[in-house]
Amino acid sequence: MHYRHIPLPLFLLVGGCGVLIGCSQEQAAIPVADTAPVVDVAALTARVAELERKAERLKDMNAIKRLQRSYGYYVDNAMWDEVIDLFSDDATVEIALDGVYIGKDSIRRYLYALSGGQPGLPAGTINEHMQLQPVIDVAPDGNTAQGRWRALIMSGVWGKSATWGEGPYENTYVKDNGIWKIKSTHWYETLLVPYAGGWAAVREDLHNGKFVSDNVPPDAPPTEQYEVWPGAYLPPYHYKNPVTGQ
Amino acid sequence: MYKKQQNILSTISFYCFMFYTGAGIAAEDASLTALSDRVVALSREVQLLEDQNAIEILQRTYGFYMDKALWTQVADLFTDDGTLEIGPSGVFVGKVRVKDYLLSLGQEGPQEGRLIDQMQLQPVIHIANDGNNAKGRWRSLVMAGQHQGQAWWGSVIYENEYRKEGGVWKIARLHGYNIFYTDYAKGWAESAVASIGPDQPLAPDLPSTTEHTSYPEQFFVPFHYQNPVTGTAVDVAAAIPDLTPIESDILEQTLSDLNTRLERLNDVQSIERLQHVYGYYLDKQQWDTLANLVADDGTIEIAQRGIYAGKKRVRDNLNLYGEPGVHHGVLHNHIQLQPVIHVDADGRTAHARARALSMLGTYGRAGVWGASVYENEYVKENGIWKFKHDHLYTTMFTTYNEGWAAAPRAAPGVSKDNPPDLPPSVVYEAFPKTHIPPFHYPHPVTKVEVRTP
Repeated sequence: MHYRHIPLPLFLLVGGCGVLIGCSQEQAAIPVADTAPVVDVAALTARVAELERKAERLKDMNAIKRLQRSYGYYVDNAMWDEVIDLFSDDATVEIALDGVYIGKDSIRRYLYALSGGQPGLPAGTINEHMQLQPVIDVAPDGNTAQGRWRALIMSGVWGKSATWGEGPYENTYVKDNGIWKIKSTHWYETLLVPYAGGWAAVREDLHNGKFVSDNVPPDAPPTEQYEVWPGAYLPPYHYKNPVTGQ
Repeated sequence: MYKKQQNILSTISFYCFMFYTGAGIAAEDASLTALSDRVVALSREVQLLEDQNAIEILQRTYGFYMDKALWTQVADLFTDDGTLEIGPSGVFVGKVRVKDYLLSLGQEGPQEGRLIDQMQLQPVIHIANDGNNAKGRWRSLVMAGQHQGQAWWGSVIYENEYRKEGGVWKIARLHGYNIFYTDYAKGWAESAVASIGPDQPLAPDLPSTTEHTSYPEQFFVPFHYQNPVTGTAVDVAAAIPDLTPIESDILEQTLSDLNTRLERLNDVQSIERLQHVYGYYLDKQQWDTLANLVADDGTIEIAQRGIYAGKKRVRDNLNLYGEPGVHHGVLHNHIQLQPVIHVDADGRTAHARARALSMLGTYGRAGVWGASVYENEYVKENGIWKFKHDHLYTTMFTTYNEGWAAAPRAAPGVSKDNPPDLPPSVVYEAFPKTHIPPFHYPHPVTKVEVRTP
């Protein structure tokens, strides 16, 4: 039965009795239990709020995945202006060993430089950046998050080069007026190797993890120094072992 | 006097009583109505979260069926009026014609010497306000080819549509834009074609809907959605339907049910996370911490190496893959992809089908590509999900320089030095032979168990 449909006289008989006339709780309890359930609105409200919080965390996870996957689709086509819109104003970008670019203006200079000074993927180039294997952790307050991802990359220039690339990201995210944005992205280069021979081929011209930072200097040096392939490096995890907590 | 006073008091108290009770009802009534409205909105949110999972399972299952040329099962994922358009194929309308198209690609069922692995990756899904229509962008990395013939890498972007009919999500429109296919022997600096379809393709019901170009020409696949930060409209507009109010006498039960559904949704996220964390540990040969993801009575069974039972034996098994830790010039990547997760009703056990793409090898020696499918089982102990059975089936394993068409290798077998506790639970051979790892779940639309054709 819907609470608000309980006829008024019933309330006069049952609910009001204990409060104003002063009859005992025992007397009141019997008819209350039999005829109209006591609805503890405060307790129900708390339960609803807890469930809303759980649903919100799941929505946050989905929103962050959409955000990072959209990043990948935009990078595929060198859609740098769209990429920059995914960042918070104070965001940082650190790709391989190029150093840290801070704020949207620096990030724009850097990303444009990656494709020769202007956005967009020219004919005869390919830049596939698959965004894979997310491990997302939203902070208890629901306002920030961290995510490990990995990119598998197929890039190249027709008639000139073809490259396989792979490496993980450790990114942070911030929820700004209900919208998730990328606060920092840090891609660790495991390898970027020519298609011919792949990662096993011995080469003289080993990539050193730098792209355009010699021409477009970063705002800060790399936060970590490591040797890219054939070097081996374990980029730190933002999370503990989910079973042992260590 | 006294009597009169008493009468007055009674009268006052009666009116106070009337007033108080009326106000109490109104206040409680209003807060309950507001609460009921919140629960209605919450129910819709939970439904949308479940819908998102169902659509992801649908598209990932499409991939697992395509891998094995299960054409009938693929066609049954579509609505009756569903359409298919892949690369330059034109549009095929309706389930029957979808199956005709698939048959034009080759015989139904896995065929010895034929590889058509189509990884389903990177979903961006938006569900319309009506809760019955959705759009999704996905991508596929394709490993295809014929043993002792040609091998291909391919990259495809999908912009698909989905529809919910009778509570079941189906593919309403599958549209794959081929970015390129490249001859494995040459790579994409030298080789790029728009399609590797049959020489004489089946005539479609309708012409292509787009004039899409592929690499090395300039290409672009339109998005069904605006930038997630700056955009507002999503191209899945529809009115929010009138939502059914929840009666207060079922409020308790409704909240209890919603809690259970949210717990199951959370379990799915936790298991996906566990599988992905596992992959990152595997990459870096972190054997001790990896073994700790397994339940005390858990097992591991990789390729044809046999079963290692118990956490300690799982740790022993990991010694087969190298010394712990990272080593200069050693690559041990196992990229974790395409999870289809089902949590059992009691929330204590779960299953996942997923896949790994492996990039292995040693600098200056040999590189290896591997493709495989997991059918794993998980158990929740003290609120924490762990691996119960980690079972990887090898699809294909090959040296980098030769590729899968020229030099497929056998799935690794039982080690003499570090033998398993039990032999392999299923005996099979990797590519160029074929096998279908058993599905832990029935067809998501027909609900029929999937059998080998």
